[in-house]
Amino acid sequence: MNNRTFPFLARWLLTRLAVKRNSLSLIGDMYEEYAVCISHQRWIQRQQWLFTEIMLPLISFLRNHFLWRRGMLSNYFKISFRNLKRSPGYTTINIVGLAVGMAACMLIFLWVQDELSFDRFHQHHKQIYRIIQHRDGGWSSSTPFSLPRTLKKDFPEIEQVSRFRNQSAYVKYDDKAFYEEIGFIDPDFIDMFSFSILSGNKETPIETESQVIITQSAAIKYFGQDDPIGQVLNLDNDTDVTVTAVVQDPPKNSSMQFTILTNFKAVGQRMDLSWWTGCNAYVRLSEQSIPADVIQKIDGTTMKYDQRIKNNQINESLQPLTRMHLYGLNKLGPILYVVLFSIIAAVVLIIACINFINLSTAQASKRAREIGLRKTVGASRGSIVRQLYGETLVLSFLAFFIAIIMVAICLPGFNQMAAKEITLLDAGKLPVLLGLFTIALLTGLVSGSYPALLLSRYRPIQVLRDGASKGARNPRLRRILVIFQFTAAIILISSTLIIQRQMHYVQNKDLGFQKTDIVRLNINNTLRPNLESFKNRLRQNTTIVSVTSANTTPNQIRNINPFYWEGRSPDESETLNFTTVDHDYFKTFGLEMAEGRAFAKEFASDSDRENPGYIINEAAVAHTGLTDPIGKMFSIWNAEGRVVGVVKDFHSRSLHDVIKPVIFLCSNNWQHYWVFISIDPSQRREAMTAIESTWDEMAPDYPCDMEFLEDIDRERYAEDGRIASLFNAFTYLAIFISCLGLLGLAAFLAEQRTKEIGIRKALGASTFNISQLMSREFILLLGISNLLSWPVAWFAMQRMMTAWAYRETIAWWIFAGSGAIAILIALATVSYQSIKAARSNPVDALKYE
Amino acid sequence: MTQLTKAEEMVLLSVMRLKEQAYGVAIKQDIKEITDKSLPYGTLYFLLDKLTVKLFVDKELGESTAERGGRRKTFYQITASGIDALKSAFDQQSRAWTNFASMDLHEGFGK
Repeated sequence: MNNRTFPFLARWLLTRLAVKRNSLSLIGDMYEEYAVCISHQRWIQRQQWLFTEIMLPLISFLRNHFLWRRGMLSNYFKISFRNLKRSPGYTTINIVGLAVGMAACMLIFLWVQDELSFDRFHQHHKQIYRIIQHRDGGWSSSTPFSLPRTLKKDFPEIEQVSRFRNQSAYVKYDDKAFYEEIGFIDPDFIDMFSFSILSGNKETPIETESQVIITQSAAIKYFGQDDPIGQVLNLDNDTDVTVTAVVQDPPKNSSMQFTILTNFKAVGQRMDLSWWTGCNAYVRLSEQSIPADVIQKIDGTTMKYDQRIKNNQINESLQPLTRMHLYGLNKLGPILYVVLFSIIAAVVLIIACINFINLSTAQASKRAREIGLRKTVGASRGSIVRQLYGETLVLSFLAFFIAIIMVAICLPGFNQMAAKEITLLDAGKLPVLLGLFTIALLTGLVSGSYPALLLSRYRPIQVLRDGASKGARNPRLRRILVIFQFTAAIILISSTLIIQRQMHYVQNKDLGFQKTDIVRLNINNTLRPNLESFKNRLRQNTTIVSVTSANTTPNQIRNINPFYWEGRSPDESETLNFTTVDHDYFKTFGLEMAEGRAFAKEFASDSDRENPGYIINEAAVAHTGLTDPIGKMFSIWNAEGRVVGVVKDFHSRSLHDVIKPVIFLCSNNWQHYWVFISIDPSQRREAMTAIESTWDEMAPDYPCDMEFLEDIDRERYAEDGRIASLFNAFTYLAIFISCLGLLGLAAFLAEQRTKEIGIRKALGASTFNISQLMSREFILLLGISNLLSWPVAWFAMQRMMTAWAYRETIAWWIFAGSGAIAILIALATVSYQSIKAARSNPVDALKYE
Repeated sequence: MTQLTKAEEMVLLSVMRLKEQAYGVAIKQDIKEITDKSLPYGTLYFLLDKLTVKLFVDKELGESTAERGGRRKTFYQITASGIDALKSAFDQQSRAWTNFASMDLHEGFGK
């Protein structure tokens, strides 16, 4: 007989369950008898033997085990229910505080998970990289049209490449017409990215520029129930394109958004080969290649192929697709907020846990007798630890379920605030829910640890004789916990104030140009040939102050082109931001000239093709180092001209960026994309009607889509605003939870000092004396919290504000103010309890003595 | 004097009967011969433990054999107090059962 012949399961059960001191002989006996069974009996009898020897005892073991436990368990439930019922106030505070903390944590958890999931749905996301270029001291994702093709040709590690340029277009089908986001892509795109094609040509849907793929929702929008494949759409009242396939809508957590996809050739043959016009481009590396090596190899490709660059250093690199959204290019992207909010979530949860620990500890003295008695009648320390852990776990799971309900209720509002489409229940959320479950478990365990480990240690004789044990009041620990949570709350309050102030600053900062009462219109194919007459007709209207057209919006000047200037040869060209404008640009936006003059019709040479006039901003003067710049030579594309004026610096980009050198070229020949109309603010409605009617006459086949420059400017800070309001919300939550904790604690302290207060009152203390006595400790603790929180908040905000090139200073009074706010809130919370205690009749407190 | 339960009594008697050969398998078979009921090892060792704690039996580790998978036997031996316990149990039983055989079994409870 050996281990092999005895059934494994039976052996395992025996070694686990048999009483240790007997197990060896017992198993030996069984082996001996089983060996006899094997030699003399048939299979069925052996099984019967195993059943009676092992299964039946096991069943009765389990049954007894359960019955014993159930007896104890129902007692535990009864007692803890009585305890909870005895002090409903504490119970509510405990559970609600924990539930709110958990709900906040869950919401942040969901938000963080959503942010981290960006672009990860692509099957090959690990191999896909975005091409980025370093030039003019910063990284850019806009890379020359010719670069991807060249890279694919030159480097075998690069398996697939696709450019992605999105542009808005006016799409028409029958009577339905909307502006849509068109994505121009190369054929590799379909295979590289996992936007699955639902119907139509799945292999080669966009062989030519007249074929398009549309998203499912667009298909329904335009064609309803009809089969979209083979239908013809009209783009920009110009080109007819055929739908060849339907693709799923890009998910919300995709960086690339589009409604229509078409071949990149549609951008235009001349542009397609350009080294100077750029868009985003992606590569897919082969599985064996090492990204770092590939980056090293591709570096310098543009310099090699584009001979015109002499003076600029341009470097290529690759950015992983999955880092694109989170990390941005030159500054930290949302990852900053992901980390920050994760910390806040942890802090909020810790505060909630602290309250739970605090209140449970405070309740400890009431439970001490019960535990003393339990021990006296034979409870082991282990069973008491289990009982107390069990209680906190039950409470924390109760809080967990309340939290889930809260999250479900808050989610729509939260989604609106954070501009997300997060759902609580779908297949992808299983890990999140498991994570949340773990949070609940951990919360229960952490919260339960202190009471469970502390209370179970009491010596029963001491507890029963002296009543409440001294160990139950642990002023030092309680104080540390109060300090911790108010430190966190003050950090949050001051951070919120600083962020709000920055948002206010951003919205109200003088950008150096007029952004109010300016309407922006897109120039389309119909309008472009008649642009001059359109502008002239508008100018005749009295409600319109000024009209101009330009290549870009003044706060979004990002085009770059190679320039050289006085003292440099064409070989020493350098890329600078540039925009083409018409004569009225500076007047319309109220831009002030520092030197020289603005473009004017009287000077025909200003818009001369060969030798135009240039206007540069002060940053450009500083950059080029030209002294006395007026009249100096400047040149783009060998069009050597003269600088006619220097414009004062204005914010040509968002306030996140510093003001860059900008060159203005006066030309109606160059493509302008936008018309800007400055209107008389007192006659807004009339002006808008006039614009609309003029538009309808001159470009009837397009809708008159008026946008206000102010709204465009506000829209670019929408993400910042969302982060600010999230911050705001979580600060309120943290304060709320801290106050709940403080309320419970103050109540407990007041109760403990009932007799003291009674005696003091009997001896003549006033209500004011008593409330002072009760509040003094909290004020002291809050003072310490303030001192601790200020440096932390200052340091954190200093880091966070680096995201803004132009920012409000971090003033000292913000810290003092948030400290004062915290103290006021805390005092209001505590004073309810202390006044209640102070006003009580001393007779009630003392009559039982 | 501690009372013996019926099951303890059976085991203790068996240990006494088997003398030096009283170990798990043997005791189990002995009991089965007398009562015609198989006592699972779990129960048997539980009872032996109780008897050990009451000091009615002593135990001692014996040899190991291959068929036992190398595990040693535990031999049990009745102690003097164990014999006393059996005696008193026997006395009690005999008093309680006196005249049982001559009783009219149909008279007592039939009504």
